[in-house]
Amino acid sequence: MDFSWNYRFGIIILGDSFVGKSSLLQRYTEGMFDKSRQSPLGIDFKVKHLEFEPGILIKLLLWDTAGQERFKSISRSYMRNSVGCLLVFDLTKRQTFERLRDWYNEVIDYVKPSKMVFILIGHKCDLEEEQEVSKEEAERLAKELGITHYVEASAKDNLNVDSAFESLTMEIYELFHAGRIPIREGWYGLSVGVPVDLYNPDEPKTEKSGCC
Amino acid sequence: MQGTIPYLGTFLTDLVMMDTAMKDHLEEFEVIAQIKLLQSACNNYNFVQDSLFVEWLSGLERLSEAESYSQSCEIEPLSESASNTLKAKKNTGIIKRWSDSDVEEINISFVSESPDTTEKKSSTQEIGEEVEEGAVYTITLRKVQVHQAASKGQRWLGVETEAALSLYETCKVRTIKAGTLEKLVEYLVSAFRGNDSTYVTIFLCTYRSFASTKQVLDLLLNRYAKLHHHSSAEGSRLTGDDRTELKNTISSILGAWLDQYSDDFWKPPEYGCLLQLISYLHLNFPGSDLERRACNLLAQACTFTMLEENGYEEERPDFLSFSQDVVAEQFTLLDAELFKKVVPYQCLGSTWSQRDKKGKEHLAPTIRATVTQFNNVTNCVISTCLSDKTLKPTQRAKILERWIEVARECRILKNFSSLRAILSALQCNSIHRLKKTWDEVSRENFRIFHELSEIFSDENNHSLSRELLIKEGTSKFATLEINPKRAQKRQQQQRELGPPATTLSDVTLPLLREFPLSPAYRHGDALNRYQIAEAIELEYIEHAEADTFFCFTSLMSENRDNFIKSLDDSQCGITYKMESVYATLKQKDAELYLKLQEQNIKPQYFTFRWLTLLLSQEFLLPDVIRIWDSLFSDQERFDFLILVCCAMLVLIRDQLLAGDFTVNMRLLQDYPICDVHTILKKAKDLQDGA
Repeated sequence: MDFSWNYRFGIIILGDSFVGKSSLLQRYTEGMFDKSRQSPLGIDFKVKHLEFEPGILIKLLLWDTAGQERFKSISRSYMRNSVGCLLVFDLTKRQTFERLRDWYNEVIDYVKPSKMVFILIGHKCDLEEEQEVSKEEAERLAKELGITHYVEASAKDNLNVDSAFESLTMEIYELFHAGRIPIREGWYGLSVGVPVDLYNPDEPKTEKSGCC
Repeated sequence: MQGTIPYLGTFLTDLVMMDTAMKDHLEEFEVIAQIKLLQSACNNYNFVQDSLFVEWLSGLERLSEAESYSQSCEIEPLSESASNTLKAKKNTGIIKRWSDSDVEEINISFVSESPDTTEKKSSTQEIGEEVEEGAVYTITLRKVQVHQAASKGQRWLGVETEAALSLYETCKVRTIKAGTLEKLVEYLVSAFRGNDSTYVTIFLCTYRSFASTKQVLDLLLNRYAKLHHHSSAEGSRLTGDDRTELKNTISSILGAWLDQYSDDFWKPPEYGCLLQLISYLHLNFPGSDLERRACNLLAQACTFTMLEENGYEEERPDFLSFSQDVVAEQFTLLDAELFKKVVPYQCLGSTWSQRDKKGKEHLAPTIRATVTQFNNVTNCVISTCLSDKTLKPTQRAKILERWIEVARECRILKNFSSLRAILSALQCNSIHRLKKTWDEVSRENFRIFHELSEIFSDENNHSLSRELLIKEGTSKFATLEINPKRAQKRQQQQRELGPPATTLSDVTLPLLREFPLSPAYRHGDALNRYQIAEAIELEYIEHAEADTFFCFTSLMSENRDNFIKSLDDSQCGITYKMESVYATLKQKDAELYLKLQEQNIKPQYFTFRWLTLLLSQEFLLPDVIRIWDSLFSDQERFDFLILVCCAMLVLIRDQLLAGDFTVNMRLLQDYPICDVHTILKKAKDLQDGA
């Protein structure tokens, strides 16, 4: 049993097919890159513990969705239970960038009135020559959508993967502490576990599920 | 467990049509794939040879078509009207010259399904008849192509040019229409010289209805095929070239005869015709392949005679002493062995339609073997019914009834080949005309006979028999059981077996063979799998693509609703199915259901993958195949899948009840139990309401 976390964040990864969502997740949780990966079906679920400040353990529930249009109705149920979202596009495929606005709107619409914290990721930055989207352009979109961070990453070369997840986690954490993320009954995006000051890994306490 | 033996003829006709129509080759692939599927299903037959029956069958006195007809006429003499037709025929004025048989004028109709003949017909114009002494010839004008049409290979590649087809010349062609036996045999020899190559095939196929093997052989060898002994004036006129040509012709005719109708020479105990043929061959074709083949046949005959003589010491068993089950099972055993050996590509129109062409007699031996067996069964039926002339109509009716019962058994065993053979024997003229006998057949049996015959009715392009084949080729038991008691018994047996037995069902076997490299099957990856199938073992390459395609199509046709977005929320869509896993769980294990609800673990989180991929991502391939076997063998098909999912949940209930959201999600995403038998047993228990 592992109840010894202070916070639990649900994170969802969204974006078009073949932008590399699953690879990003695999690199982050398993530290590897598998070139021949097949498309996931439905949902993949991963867990990662993150201690970015001594004594504060954050548990990330990472939902990897199938990007295919077909499965959108399925991935919606995960959106509801997430507080953070990695919005991913492929730097070498312009149309995946152009679809970001739709993804964004859909998520916002769907999780309303809950809060969703985004990070924008331009993926496959290792393929420099083939880039079809400039950094300026992507940053402009991020600003427009009110997304704080834009990161260019590569799961293949392990560039900026960890930092992308960490920036998002940090931002959620800070927003929560600033009281910007309200917790509501029946919402599972963000849960508070063992109170930070009582934190004791040997004697875990049971969690009050759902809210604090 | 059961297989299905199709009546191959339907496939052959289809494939010939497809080949002619030059349509998309996927259709051919599908037919071939279906044949292969049925072949693997044949492994499910599990009968033991009955030596008593085999002995009886091999020792059975066989009647030729002519013999059976004359026998039939002796049993029930021709009626008034029938003899009138015969008289009418006599009036056509053909002079009886040579034949001693009752039939004086022999009409040979040129009905052939081969597309070549059809083509010829369309460009042939009949302009009249010529009557010669002892023969009537049809004179036709035929368009003959001067330039060769685009070759087959070119047509495949779609490079057919119009110019290649446009040049024709018109010729006058004389084709024999009717004649005395003497003329017909004479024409046999001349037919090879260019103008009528199908005649020999048709003659060999049909001559038994008007002449005996001995008559034809005598005529052919002594009169028209004299190569050395120039006793007749005609023979001495032969030039060297003529003789070579004649020799080739005779060799081809005898070759075709031996190859296709070796039974003609199988006349124990003397084997007179065979000995006559051998001595002729020894004299004129020493050391030839033809001579060797004839000698082989004789060697077989000797062994056979020995066996038979030994058999005579005991009293020969009577046909009626074998139960209908035994007869049907033994035929099925023989049919299944031959059908399994059929090499599917030999059925392809391009091969099979060539079978009767000169020099192509060796083509498609595996198919010929099934045809021979078919004819053997037909012959066996006719012989048992007709060989004893002394039987009273009631006694003979008993034999007919027994054959109807055997036919019904064949239907239950899904042996459509022998079923059709028996039915065609019962429908043949020699038996069909025995009115008094049929009057003694019970009403019930007569009804069954008609019901069975309807299976092969040629209405709507044999739609009924096709439908049955498709329906039953992939299910284990005949759904249209004619014998309800037996059906009940079978179902009972099935139930007693508990969870479906470990035999691979029809569809899974080829899947297992073609998918060995893939750890799991994923949706959206059909093309990949297609490529894998292409790459595996050399000997399968030829058929792997067709097999894989067929299996994939069959599977998806039953599973497709899960992938159709607009159905998601309907009763057959995936959302409904995911919900029904929880609904079932609620009934079976309310506590576990409440726990999952409380933790907000939605069925979408894990059952989506379980259901859409039929659990193939959760287990190793051999275990997946085992699960699929149960799914496919369940009548409700994918309803059982819901129960399997439920069983999977119930089996880890203790862990789930103790775990938190994350632990449980991990458990469900990475299912811990790998013993699928436990799971299937649990699912069966749930199904039975335990």
